[in-house]
Amino acid sequence: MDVDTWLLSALDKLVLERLRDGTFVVRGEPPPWFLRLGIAPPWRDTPLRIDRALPFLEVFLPEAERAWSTDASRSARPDGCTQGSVRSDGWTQMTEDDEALHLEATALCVGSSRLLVITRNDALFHERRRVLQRARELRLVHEALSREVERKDVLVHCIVHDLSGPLNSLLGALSLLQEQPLPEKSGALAAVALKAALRQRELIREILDTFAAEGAALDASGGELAEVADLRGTVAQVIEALLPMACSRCVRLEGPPESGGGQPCCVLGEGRRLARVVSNLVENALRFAPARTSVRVLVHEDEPGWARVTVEDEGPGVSPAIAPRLFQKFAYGRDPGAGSGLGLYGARIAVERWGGAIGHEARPEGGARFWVRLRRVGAAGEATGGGAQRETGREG
Amino acid sequence: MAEKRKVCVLGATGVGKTSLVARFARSIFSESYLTTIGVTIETRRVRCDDRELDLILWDLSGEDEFQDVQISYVRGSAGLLLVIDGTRRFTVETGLRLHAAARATAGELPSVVALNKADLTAAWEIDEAAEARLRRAGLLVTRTSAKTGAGVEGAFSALARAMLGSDAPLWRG
Repeated sequence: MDVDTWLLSALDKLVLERLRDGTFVVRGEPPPWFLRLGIAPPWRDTPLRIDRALPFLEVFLPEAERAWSTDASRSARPDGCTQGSVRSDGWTQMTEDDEALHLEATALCVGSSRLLVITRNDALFHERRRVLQRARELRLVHEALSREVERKDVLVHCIVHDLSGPLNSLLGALSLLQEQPLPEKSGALAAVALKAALRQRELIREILDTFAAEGAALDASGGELAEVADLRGTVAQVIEALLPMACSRCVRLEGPPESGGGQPCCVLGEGRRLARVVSNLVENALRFAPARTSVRVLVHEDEPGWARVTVEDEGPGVSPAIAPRLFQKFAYGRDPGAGSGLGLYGARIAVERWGGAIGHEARPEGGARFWVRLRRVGAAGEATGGGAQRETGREG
Repeated sequence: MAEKRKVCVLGATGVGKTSLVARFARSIFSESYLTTIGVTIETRRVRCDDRELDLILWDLSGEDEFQDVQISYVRGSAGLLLVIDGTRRFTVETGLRLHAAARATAGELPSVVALNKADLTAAWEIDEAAEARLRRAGLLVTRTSAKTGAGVEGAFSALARAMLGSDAPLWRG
């Protein structure tokens, strides 16, 4: 045998020539892996049954035929090779002795010969598989962890929900106790206990609200949101409810001036949740506002399609150290231990679910300004874009 | 000489397609997961109603965000084996979607569903309603375990019998 005959075998390549009648014959010496496919010789002069030898070629041949036809219509280069070739996807074929052959085919013309070159490419295959498998393993681990987190979330939700039962009994009992004539010291202790129980009920509601918002955020993917709330009415209710808290802290709580002829400012959102979001921001502002200063709540309707509520205080502002995590779960904001660490997180996922955005900035004159931007409903130029994207750089 | 039938094995990633084929074609099972790239082709001769069939098994890579199934590979198939992971309910949706895509490409074909990993009873997520949904789609539903071998021969035998009873194409050379 001469070098030409053995060269392709040495390179682990099988060369098949397509004859005019559509059959294939082996050219040169076939590589060792081909011999293990169990195809009986002779191969050079007898047409090869490629449906038995290399079944994958069935799906590649139409593409190969097109490449051969295109090549045949072009003029051959001086070296006898034509311009183009087409390569198949890789495939794996099992031999009779359970060896996996990782192969790919190339169709090309050499002179007037239409050839298929089958190459064994184990190294490339193994590298591709290593990368792909790692990615899939990580995804499976992620799925398993997500299921575990979900199970634990359900458990925690049940525990928190069950805690509220006895707490309600406790609140009822303390309220009744306060109505009784008690010695001064006992009355004060009952008032402290009632206040603590009310605070605990708020924390439980906040945690349950967050669970609900997370669940709704998952359920609402791609769904239309139909609920509409009146932003002005909601803000007015929140201010009325929090006036006693502001008075007890000697802080002036200022609401938005009447505008728009008393017309509601309708936005996408659920009324009860929106009240919780605004209330959370105002409570935070009141907590950090020094005595004899003001907390201002404003509603802005100057941007077509959007409405915005801002809550400004004259407190110390948000520390740059916690600012990036302020709206994340269990990110205890300006007052560690003051709450569940879920208030601003729950507000963010609710607002984002409605297509809006929430954020904060430092006021040049001191203090913090928290804002919520929501899609208006029924207004001219109703917004369609994402609030978070549009907000960037606007509040600066 | 045995007749040839091309069978495509379809399903989401990690449902056990390669393990089922390896169990059926080579009577082996490995706990280690080796992802399939593109397609792996194996052959197994079966006897069905006094006829010999060479099943050319095309084990297609699973569909996920990292790799698309080359659904054009189902052309020329005589039957489909849809593999669903009984411990992952969402793989039902993937299986049904792939079945619809295969039908759009290759026409109506005899199809068998293998609810795989039947040995993992504690983690089973496929309920009666899901099985009924598969049957309503015209699919023959079986339970298999590539690990123990339970139901594997039965699934392929059912498919072979369905192929012999249909007008599905012979393997084209």
